[in-house]
Amino acid sequence: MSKNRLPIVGAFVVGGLLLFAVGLFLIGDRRMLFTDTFELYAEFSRVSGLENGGKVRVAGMDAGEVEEIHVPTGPTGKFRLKLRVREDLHPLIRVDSVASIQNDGLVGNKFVQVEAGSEGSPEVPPKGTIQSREPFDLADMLNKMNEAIDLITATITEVKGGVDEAVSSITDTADGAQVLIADVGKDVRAITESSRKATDNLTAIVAGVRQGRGSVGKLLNDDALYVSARNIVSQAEKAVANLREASEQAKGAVADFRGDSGPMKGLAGNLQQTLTSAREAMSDLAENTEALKRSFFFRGFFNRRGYFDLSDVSVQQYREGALASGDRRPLRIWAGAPVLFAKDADGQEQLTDDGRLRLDAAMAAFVKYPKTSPFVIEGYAEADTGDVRFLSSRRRAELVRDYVVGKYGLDPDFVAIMSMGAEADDSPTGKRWDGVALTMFVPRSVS
Amino acid sequence: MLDRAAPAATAALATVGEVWLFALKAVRESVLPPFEFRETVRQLYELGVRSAPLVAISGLAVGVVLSMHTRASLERFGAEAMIPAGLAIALVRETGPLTAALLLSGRIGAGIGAELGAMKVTEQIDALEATAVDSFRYLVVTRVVACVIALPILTTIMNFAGMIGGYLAETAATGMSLSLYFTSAFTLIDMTDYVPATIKTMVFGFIIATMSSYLGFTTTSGTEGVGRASTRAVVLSSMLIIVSNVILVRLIFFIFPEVAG
Amino acid sequence: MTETLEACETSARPAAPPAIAVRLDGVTKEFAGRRVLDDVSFEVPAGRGFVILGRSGTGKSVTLRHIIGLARPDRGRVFVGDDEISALDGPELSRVRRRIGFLFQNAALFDSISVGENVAFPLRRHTRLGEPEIRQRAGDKLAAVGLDKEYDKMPADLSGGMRKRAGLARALALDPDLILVDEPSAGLDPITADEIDDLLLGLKRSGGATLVVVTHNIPSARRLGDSLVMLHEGRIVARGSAADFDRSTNELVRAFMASQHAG
Repeated sequence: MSKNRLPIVGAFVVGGLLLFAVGLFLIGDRRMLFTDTFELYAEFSRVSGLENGGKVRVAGMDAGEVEEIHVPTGPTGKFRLKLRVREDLHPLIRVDSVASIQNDGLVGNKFVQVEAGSEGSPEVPPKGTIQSREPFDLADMLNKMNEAIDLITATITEVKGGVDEAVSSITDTADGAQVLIADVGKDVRAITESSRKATDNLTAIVAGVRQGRGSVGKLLNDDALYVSARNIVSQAEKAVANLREASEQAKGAVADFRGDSGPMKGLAGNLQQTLTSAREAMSDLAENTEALKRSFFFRGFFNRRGYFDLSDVSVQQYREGALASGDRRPLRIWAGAPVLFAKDADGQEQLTDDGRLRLDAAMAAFVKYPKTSPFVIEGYAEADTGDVRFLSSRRRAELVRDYVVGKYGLDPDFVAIMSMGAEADDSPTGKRWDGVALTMFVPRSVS
Repeated sequence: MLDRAAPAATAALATVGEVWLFALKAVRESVLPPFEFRETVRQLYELGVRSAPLVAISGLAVGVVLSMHTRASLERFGAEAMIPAGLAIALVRETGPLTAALLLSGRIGAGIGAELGAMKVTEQIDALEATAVDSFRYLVVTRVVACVIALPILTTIMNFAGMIGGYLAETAATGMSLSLYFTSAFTLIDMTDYVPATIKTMVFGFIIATMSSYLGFTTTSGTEGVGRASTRAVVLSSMLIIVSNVILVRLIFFIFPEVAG
Repeated sequence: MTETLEACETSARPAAPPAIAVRLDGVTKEFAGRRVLDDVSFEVPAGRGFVILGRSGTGKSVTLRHIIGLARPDRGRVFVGDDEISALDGPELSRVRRRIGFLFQNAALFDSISVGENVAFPLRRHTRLGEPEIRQRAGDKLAAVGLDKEYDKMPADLSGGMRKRAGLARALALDPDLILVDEPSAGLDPITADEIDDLLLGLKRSGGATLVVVTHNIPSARRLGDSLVMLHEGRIVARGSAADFDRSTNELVRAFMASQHAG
């Protein structure tokens, strides 16, 4: 009792309180209760599960938190995010900085990423609103693509019916319209062809995404891919609208012919014009879906391995060995067109049974290599003009690709086609080739 | 059977009532003067300071073990970066307060039960009264106040010792630095996780001190009774702590809904 | 059945200011349905020795506890001097208790502090004396019971008789004018018991203190008791001087006195 314990007890109590205060400080430090901050706003139409208190990162650095999320008053409004950001990072944030909502790893929380702006732009004023990029929603995009596919297919059927009916009506009514009809028939065929390609491509992309495997993650973070995917969806909608217009006009034309009164020529001319623009729109769509498919399958894959994006690789670059690298060499097998292809009733080339056997024989050489080896099907075609060589060689490459991918279960992520024209430097017949070449870039260590 | 059960139930109810009155008296006399300052300091030393090594060492061990477990489960998701934060939030929210309280209900509860029980059977409590000292104030209130002060402090020591244990395990596995560990440990914790969970241990301290004091004060039948009082002090206060924790957590969720989210 | 004998003889010390130090007035107490005290009344003149006799479990100790307010009567009243201690509480109760010294049967020393600190305890609690004076006084009290060398020992290190003497020193620390003693000779050898009795007698003679002693030791009762009562089953069955008890015709008293003589 005589021992005075007051100092020890005092130290215990004060020390305990200090330790507790250290905890408070560490939490407060993170919440920036003791740091200079400024307010910043960003608006999003979707917040993807972001919550109050979510982190804000400026150029990847932890910089603050989401203080408040103002809910929009109507469906067209946007969520307004009030961000509290460290003052010392203010100089990085310029008026052209872009905010986006991102995922912190697979299981992490959502956070707001603010990219540093460009040197020339002025700083964002306190309480300023910066630009934002809507969060990427994979499921949403897949749904839109599926919708586009359905829409295109349905409209094509409808339009084709409408136009056919119109054409036959016109034929019945006016013999003198032969020229016009021939033109219309060509347009309709072209539209059908393009839309088939577009839907095929979209279907391939959707299937690829559904199967997952690597490219999903790539797609999540690849803004350019995402933007072009969205563009294609809106483009598809536009093309469909064009087709509908054409269909309406065809119906109108039919009515006019039946009525025997209208200015036939004018209407038919209108119809033709509309059909032409619908054909162009559909053709663009087909081109774009093709481009997207290629970059979707290859960008993700090749980027990861240091290859060039195939859509950015010109035939010239490819010939110069853009895909070959230190650890991979091309293994090429040539197959000639006479064995592979024969024209069908429509004048389109198709794969023959002998051709399939030839391809099976060629594939035997490739199956021993890893399925992850990049596989390029080069199409070659002899023709009078460059554009026909290009289109024809692409068609051949596509036919072969569809066959081998389907039969051998190749991973579409690792298969590409190249439309080569007619020149072939090291073909068996000298400088030119007519047919295809199957090329696998195999690891050098495996002989 | 019923004629035997009924008096037993009545007796149990009467005991609950007595404990309740005892606790109310403890609350009232804790806040009203006169205060037994000297004796409270002595109890803070006995119950608080001398429990610190136990709590610190246990905290260290709990931290190491928790860290190893969180590593095993988070590694599966590739979320090793979350180990410090996961460990810290588990410690601060529940593991620290509850483990500290249960450890101390063992050390302090048994101590108080045995000490007051022995004082009761050897008439020392009567002797205090005969010396014109309010035995309740002198023995019970001082211990209650000391426990209510000591528990949050010991819990804080437990929390930090646990985090240091976690750091030791982590740095052994990955060589992580102390400052990075503590920075990332506090990334998920909010004030509402930290403050209420620490403050609630005051209730645990109150439970340990009053329950054990009551059992000590009502000890009968000699040395055997002292042993019983000591054991029951540990059993009943641990049980009450665990049960009251349910209510306290519920209450914290009610007051700070963001903790539950 | 109660045989009433002359309780008060002529006062030996007429100087004591309140003539009556302790008075019990019809005190009745039950524990768990058992009547421990049944209508007990007696008066203790100031400065005299008063002995409560009886077999174990007849309510002697309970009577003593009533006098210092450790027990409250179910019916009846208890006075210490002019204060009705059975009705007091808080600071008032403390004020009265400070005038009373209580020597417990087993001394009831606080075993967490040293012997000297046990004696100093009441001084620290109830006086404003400085540290040196407190040690001085506690030392004096210990010296008076022959324990001046045991100041810094812990209670557990003392023998039974030494503990009892230390308990007495603590009871006397505040110089009380009423001293309550529970079984002074219990558990002690006859010689040690005699020493304790001597100490108590000395207090009564020199300090003019009132003694209330509970015992079943007849020699001790003869020496300490100016007057005696005998309790049986919670009732007073006899009262008077030791000589009155020797002459009693009450069978219980005779049996008690006889058995103790033999022992």
